[in-house]
Amino acid sequence: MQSAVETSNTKLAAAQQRSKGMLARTAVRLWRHKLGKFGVFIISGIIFAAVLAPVVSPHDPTHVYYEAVLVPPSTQFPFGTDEIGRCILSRTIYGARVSLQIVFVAIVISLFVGSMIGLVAGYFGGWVDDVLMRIMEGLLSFPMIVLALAIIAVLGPSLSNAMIALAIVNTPGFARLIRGQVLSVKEMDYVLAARALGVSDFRIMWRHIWPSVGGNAIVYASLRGSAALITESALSFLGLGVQPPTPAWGYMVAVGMNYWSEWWMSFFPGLAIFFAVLGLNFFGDALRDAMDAKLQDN
Amino acid sequence: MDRRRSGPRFHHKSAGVPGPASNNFCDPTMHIYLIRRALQLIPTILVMSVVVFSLTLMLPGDAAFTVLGETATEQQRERWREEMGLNQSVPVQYLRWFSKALTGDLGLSIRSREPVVDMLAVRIPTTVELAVLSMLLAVAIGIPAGIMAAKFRNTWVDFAVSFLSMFSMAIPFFWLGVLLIMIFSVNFRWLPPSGYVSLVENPIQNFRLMILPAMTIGMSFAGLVMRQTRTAMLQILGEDYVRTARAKGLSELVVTVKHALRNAMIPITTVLGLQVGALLGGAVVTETIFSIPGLGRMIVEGIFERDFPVVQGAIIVIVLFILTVNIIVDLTYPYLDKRVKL
Repeated sequence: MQSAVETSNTKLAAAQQRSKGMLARTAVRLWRHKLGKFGVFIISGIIFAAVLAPVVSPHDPTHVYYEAVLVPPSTQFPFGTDEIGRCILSRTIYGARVSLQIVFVAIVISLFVGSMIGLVAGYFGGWVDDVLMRIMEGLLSFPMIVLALAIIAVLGPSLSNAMIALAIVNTPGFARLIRGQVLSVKEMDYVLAARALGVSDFRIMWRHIWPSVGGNAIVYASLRGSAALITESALSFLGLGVQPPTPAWGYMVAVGMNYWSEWWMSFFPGLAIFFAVLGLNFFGDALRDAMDAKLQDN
Repeated sequence: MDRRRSGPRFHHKSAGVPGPASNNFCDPTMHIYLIRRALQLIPTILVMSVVVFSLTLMLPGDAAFTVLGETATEQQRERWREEMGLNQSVPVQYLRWFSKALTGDLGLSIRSREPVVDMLAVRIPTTVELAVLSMLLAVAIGIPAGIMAAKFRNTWVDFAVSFLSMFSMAIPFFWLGVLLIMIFSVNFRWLPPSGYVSLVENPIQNFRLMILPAMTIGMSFAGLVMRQTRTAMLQILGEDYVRTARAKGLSELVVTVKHALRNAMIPITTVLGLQVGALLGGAVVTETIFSIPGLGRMIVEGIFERDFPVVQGAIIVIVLFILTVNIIVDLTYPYLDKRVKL
């Protein structure tokens, strides 16, 4: 039996232990919750800068300052200048336009096409399902970058071909995801009822199945967005994506490799990629957690 | 995908689960399983071959002009087209190419006239070494960190690990590579920035040259490993059999490693296996940064030189490698969880 003093000491110690743990626990929980907002903040910031590029950039990204070649970061050129004398900050901001454009279009296309394939494969089943999914699995056996490189090799490097390559690379993932979802929804009562009523297949897929399944596609899209962005910048890094003089983040990092002492040339564009990917990741995670929470509520 | 869940499970040989009767490799039913897995790969390989073959479309316009130049006569160009089989229809060309590939003839490099398989033989070990080193590094960093995060959940350790893993998963690996060169090669001059020496020739120099490339890929990959380990460990540490092990009086270390981690390895290996493709994708770009003569650089250089046999050969090897790794990963499950029978 403990004395009164010992008991209260133990209680005090336990309380202190708890509050230490609680502080850390709260920090983790707040941090996780804040991440989504932070992600939205970053992405909105980048989109804002991209859309309002002419307004936000301090200089014209194509303007050559002959007397300011390879200048380190300064008040006039916050990110420094490149080997020709162009402002890197301005080029980075305009580069956001290019990257966001490519990634957005590519993901939207692959979401649309992939979902269609997944819906058809999952709904009709049988040999249609087999053939379509075999093709998708074949495409998925390639690493993303390698498949994108193969497509660029055939089509040639350009902005639109980069879009096409990324769209093709991401489509199988959507197809497989949606197909899986469709398989579980297909046998639900409301679908069976619709079929019994003689509703056309297309209408069933579009009005009845897709709404239950579309949420997952959106979450997957945001998660794939960041992977697509890294792939796109890897392509332009290799010189096989957007072609100069259009500013592209990956390409700018590659150019900086020729100028090792001029660290700002590679650093800032890469930092931009990093924040964009981070923002997309946070946003995607928050979206997924939100979807899970909704499912849990149901 | 059922067997990829961790936790207690009740498989019996009689439960109708398809697969070999035992996990012994000499068992004939294991051979049948392996053959069946190999046959399942056939559609995938067919699709892959079609994609790779379409690279022959890479040469735009009249290929003969591009390769032989303008000084060649029309006769020479016609003879070259015959040689290359470009006069036949596309499906015939595909069948010709495919049957040759099956016998190990992947053509000659357009630029150097060297057999593609010879080029591959030299480059495969290099890329494999890079991939293995990167994976080892990622696992060496990621798994302990993930375990720590799971054991000290909701403490600052957990917070730091989660923060680091987010950081690692967001960072563009090629940017990381450039930064590493800037810091370690240019600034401190500790390590050479590029180049390659084979492991057999000079192990120490090989290691010095491979550290930065392996760090580039490995550090980017470690974040995913950290996260996956943490998730798997969290799930398992709450299971009954862990509580039993603790109640038995086993030390925390034994409980964590021998019991919890062992079972956590199933989902972790699954994820690692699925990510081998991404790892090789990273290797492709990293080899270009560090001038390492591997499969990745073969592809990139081949694209720039419009040398499609070279690009085809390298891509085929990479995809076959990934498919093989997937099968090997599946084969390790019975060893990680004795209850699982392939």
